[in-house]
Amino acid sequence: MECREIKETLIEYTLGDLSHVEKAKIESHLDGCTECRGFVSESKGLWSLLETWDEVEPSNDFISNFWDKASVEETKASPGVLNWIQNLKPNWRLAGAMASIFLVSIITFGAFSPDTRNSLFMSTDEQDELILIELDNAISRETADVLSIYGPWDGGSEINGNGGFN
Amino acid sequence: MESDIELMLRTKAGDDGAFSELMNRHYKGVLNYIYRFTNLRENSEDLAQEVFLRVYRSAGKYRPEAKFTTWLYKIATNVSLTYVKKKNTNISLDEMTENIGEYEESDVEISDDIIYRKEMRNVIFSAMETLPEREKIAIMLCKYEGLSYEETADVLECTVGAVKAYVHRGRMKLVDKLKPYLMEEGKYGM
Repeated sequence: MECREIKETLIEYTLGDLSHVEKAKIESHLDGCTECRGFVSESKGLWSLLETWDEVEPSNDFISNFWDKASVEETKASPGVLNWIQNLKPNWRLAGAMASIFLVSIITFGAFSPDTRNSLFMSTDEQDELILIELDNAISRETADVLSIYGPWDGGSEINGNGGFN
Repeated sequence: MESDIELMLRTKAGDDGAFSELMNRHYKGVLNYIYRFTNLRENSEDLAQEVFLRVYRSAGKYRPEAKFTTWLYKIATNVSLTYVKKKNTNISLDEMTENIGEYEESDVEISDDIIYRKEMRNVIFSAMETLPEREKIAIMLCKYEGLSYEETADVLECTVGAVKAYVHRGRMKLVDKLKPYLMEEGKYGM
């Protein structure tokens, strides 16, 4: 058995997971190999060394302190508006139902929205329309006439250095 | 003697005395586990109480599907990890190693043995800190808390084989780190 194999099977050897034959092979190798023997000893020594890390003793009132803390928590958890809000949990069923209602409403209103294609266009509406157009034209002409004192508007006119038009 | 599970079921039914009995059985182990994790003596007690508070608060939902100890140490591991991660942003390793042992030794005449043990605590803690999280937890649970490989596997949510590998690898790394402190043992056989 080689040194590399010893190191690889050390865990099984440590745990006692090896068969008698394999264990005997390892021990026979260890008897003749100083390096592996040192390796195994160090590993064993480590476990002893870790034991020097002492335990600490809990204080005598650990349990009574615990119950004090638990009762403080219970008081904090007593009913209150803020506490009620904090304890609110999402109700997925209600949220799902609300979403379904919303969706159905949109579809329903979309399907039954007023159809403008069937609305009537009365003759009085047509007359009103003509009056409005005429009025609009009259205002536009008058406005253009008033503004003509400043010069022609069409033909790419530009403002000259005196503030007039060319 | 009632099992942990029976006590927990009594707690669930509203018997606080049963929970006191459960704490009596386990608080020392939990306290030391957290202490070795954080290396802060005074905070360990508060954190251990936090662990039991979490257990107590969730007693109403308790179902005896897993072993109580593995559930308890899973919570203790989470509390310790959260604390260490939060604390590491504010405290240096030097500060952590300076704090240890002050609680119980302040009024005692300091002997060579105490100095040696304090030094060893610092050395072992520093070496443990260099290990990957899972290797460190596996060694602490198996070596110090006496949990079996199966129980440790439940805490770490991995296979027994993985736990064995974590312990082995961690052990080999610690041998390297702590070589100057290791004394040659007479005979192998571990």
